[in-house]
Amino acid sequence: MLPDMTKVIVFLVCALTFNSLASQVIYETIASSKLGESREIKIQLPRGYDPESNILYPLIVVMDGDYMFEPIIGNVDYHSYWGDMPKSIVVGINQSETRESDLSYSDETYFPSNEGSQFYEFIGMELIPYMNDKYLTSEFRIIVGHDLSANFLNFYLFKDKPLFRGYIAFSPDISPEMNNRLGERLPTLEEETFYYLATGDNDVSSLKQDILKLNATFAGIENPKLNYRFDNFEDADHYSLVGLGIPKAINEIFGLYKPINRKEYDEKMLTFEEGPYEYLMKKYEDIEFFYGFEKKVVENDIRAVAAAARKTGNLDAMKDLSRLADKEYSESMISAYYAGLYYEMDGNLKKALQNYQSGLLLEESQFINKDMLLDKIYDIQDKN
Amino acid sequence: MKKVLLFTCALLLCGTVISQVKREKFESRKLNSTRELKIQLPANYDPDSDLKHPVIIVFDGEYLFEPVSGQVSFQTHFDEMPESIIVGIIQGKERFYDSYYDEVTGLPVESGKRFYDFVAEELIPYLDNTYNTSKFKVAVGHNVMGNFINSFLFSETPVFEAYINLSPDFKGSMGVNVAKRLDYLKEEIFYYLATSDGDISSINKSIHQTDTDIKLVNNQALTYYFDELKGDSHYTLVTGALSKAMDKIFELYKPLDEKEIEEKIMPYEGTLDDYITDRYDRIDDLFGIFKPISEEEFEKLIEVANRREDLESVYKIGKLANKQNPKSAFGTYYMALHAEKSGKTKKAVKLYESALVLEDMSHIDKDFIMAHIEGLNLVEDDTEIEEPDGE
Repeated sequence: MLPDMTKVIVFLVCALTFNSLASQVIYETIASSKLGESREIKIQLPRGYDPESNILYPLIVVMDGDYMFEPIIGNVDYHSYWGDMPKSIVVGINQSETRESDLSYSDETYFPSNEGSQFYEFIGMELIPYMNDKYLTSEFRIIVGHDLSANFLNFYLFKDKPLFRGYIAFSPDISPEMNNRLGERLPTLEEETFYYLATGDNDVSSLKQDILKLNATFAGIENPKLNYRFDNFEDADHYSLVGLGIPKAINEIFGLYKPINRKEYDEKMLTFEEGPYEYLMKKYEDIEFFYGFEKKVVENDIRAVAAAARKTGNLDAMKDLSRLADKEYSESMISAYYAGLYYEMDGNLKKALQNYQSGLLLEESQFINKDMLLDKIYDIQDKN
Repeated sequence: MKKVLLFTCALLLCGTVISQVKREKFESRKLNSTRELKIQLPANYDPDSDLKHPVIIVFDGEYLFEPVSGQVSFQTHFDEMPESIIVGIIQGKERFYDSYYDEVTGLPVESGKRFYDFVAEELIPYLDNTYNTSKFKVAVGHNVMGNFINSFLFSETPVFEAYINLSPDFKGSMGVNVAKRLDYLKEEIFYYLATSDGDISSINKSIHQTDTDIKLVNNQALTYYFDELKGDSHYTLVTGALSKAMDKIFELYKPLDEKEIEEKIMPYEGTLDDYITDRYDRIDDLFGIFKPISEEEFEKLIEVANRREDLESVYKIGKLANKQNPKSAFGTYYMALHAEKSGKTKKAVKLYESALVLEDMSHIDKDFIMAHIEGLNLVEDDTEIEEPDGE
C-alpha cells in the first residue's frame, strides 16, 4: 500500500526555483601561475549585489575555505542584514589537499619558503587582484584563518604596507619567532589595523600556551593604530571556539560602523556641542576615513538625529536633516516625513501637511508607513 | 591590461554545485497561501540511501537561515554533529500574523494558530515524506518567534525534540508555563535559552525569570542550557548563541575527546565494549540515526584499555570491531593481541594469520601483522608451550 497518499496530495508543493535578492555561493576554479596549478575558490556576493553600481564592498579572504567559508558567510550575511557590519564580499580558498604545504615555512628563517611562499604570493598577487578586477571590492580587506592558517596570516603583517586591515586568528598554531617578530612589528604599524585572537579553555594545550604568550605581547603594545581584541572562551575547544569567535571579531572590527544605539545617542549625540546633525556628519566621515568606503546614512541614524533635534529644540539640525533625507531617500516616505517634521517644528503647518500628503504616494520604509503619515495628517487637520 | 596579463588566471566556471540552497514554494491549505522555504540538504545527500538526517526548522528564515546553515556546515565537517536537513521559513511581512498570540497565555491564536498548524501538520509531514528525515527535529526562533516555538512543547508529544531560544520575547504566561511543562515531560527534550547583557531589558528580565524557573525543574528527560552573552545586543547575540546551542545539543554525537576519556571511560566499571555500545545506542535512540563506531574511536578505546591494563576489554573491543566490520583486519588483530598477551600463543598465531587476509587499517597492515607472527613463532619454538585452544 502506498504510504498515506492522501496526505501527500493534500498539500500541493510546487518546487519552483525563483530568483530573489538572496545570495548564492559561486564556485570557481582559478588557475594560478604562482602555484603552478589551479585552486578551487568559493565566493559569496552581498544580497542585491549589482555589478553596475558604484558601491564598493570590503573583501574578506578566508583560508581553509573548505570548512571556514560557510560559518563566515553565515555571519556576514546575518550581521550585515541588521546593519551591524557593511555588506561584504567573501572569498574562501579550498586547501584540504594542500593545507600542510600551503601553510608551511622554512625551518631556518621561519618565514614562508617554497610552497609556503608560493601560496603567500598567490593570495597577494593573484587572488586579490583577480577579485578586484572582477568584483566591486574596496581597499578594506580582512583575512581569516584557523590553526595553521591563523598563523600564516601573520606573515602578511610584515609587508611594508600590509595588504589587510583586519586579521582574524582562531587558535593559531604559532610558528617559532612569530611572537618576537610581531612584538617588534606591531608598534610600527601606521595604518588603522584590527587584530582578533581567540582560544578556548579546552583548546589544544600546546597551542593555547603559545596563544596566551602572544596575547601578552599584544597587550603590551602601545600603538593607537592597533585595535586588538582577545577572547579565551569558556567551555570551548579548538573547533567550537570558531563559531563563538566570528561574531566577536566582526563586532570588534565594525564597532564604529554600527547604527547609533541608545548609549551612543545619550552619551555622544545629545552632548555633542555642534548639535546632532553635525555629530552624524562627523560619524560618517570617520567611517569613511577608517574603513575606506562610504556608508549610506541609515534610517535608524536619521531617526536618532530627529529625536535629538526635537529634544533639544534644534531647528537648524532638523532643517539640515530634512535636506539630507530628501537627498538620500527621495523615493521613500522618509524624505516626506522628515520634511513634514521640519515644517511642523518651524510652525508652518500648511507646508507640513503638504509634505505628509505627498509622502502617501512614496515607498514605505522600515519605520515609516502610510498609517504614520495619516496620523500626522489627521493631527494637523484636527488642530485647524 | 598589463595587470590582467601579469597573472594568467584563466577562469573556469566549474559546474560543481555543492550543497546549494534550494528554494521552494509551499502551498499551504492551513494558511490558504503560499510560503517560501529555503532548504539545505547535506552535501552528499542521496535520496536512495538509508541514512537519516535530523531536521532543523528555522523561523524568520530570511535572516536566520544563513547563520544556522553556516554553523551546521562547520560542525558536520568535523563530524561534530550529524549531517542535517535545514529548512528556513520566510515570514517577512507575515511575521506579525504568524506569531499572533493570546495576551494571557502567550500561545498562538487565530492566524498564529493557523501558522502553528501549517508547521506541525503540513510542513513537517511533507519533509518526512519527501526527504530521509530522522525523528530528531530542532526548532530555532528569535525574538517573538522564540516565543512561538515554545508552543510546540504543549502538544501531547512535543513537536520538536530540541528548542533553540535566541532571546525569545516570552508573551503572557509562556515563560512560567514552559517551566511547568518541562517538569512533567516524558520525552527527552533539549532546551537552549540565551540572552545577553545588552539585550532589550524587558526581554532580558523575563528570560532571567524563566531561567530561574527552569533551573528548579528536576526532570531527567530535560537537558537544559542557558547563556548570557557578554557585550552583545538582541541581534548580535544570535550567531554566537547558535554555535553554542548546536555544540551542546549534539555533544553526545561528537567523537570521543580527552575529557570523556579521562572522566568517564577511565573509571568505567565493566568492559569498554559495553561503554561504547551504550553510547552509540543512545545516539541512535536520541537522534534517530545510525552512526557506525569509527576506526579512530576503536583505536582510542584500545589505547584506554591498555592504560587500564584491561586485557578483557582489548579482546571485546576487537570482537565488536570485527562484528561491525568483518572485512577489516582491525578486530581480529586485537583479538590476536589479547590471545598473545594471555599466553595463548597458538591461538594468537592463528588469529594473526586470519587477519592477514583481511583489509589493512591504518597502521595495522600486512607487514605489521607478519612481524607479530614471526615474533610469536620464535617464542613458540623456544618454549614449546602447548596451549589448549579456545577460551
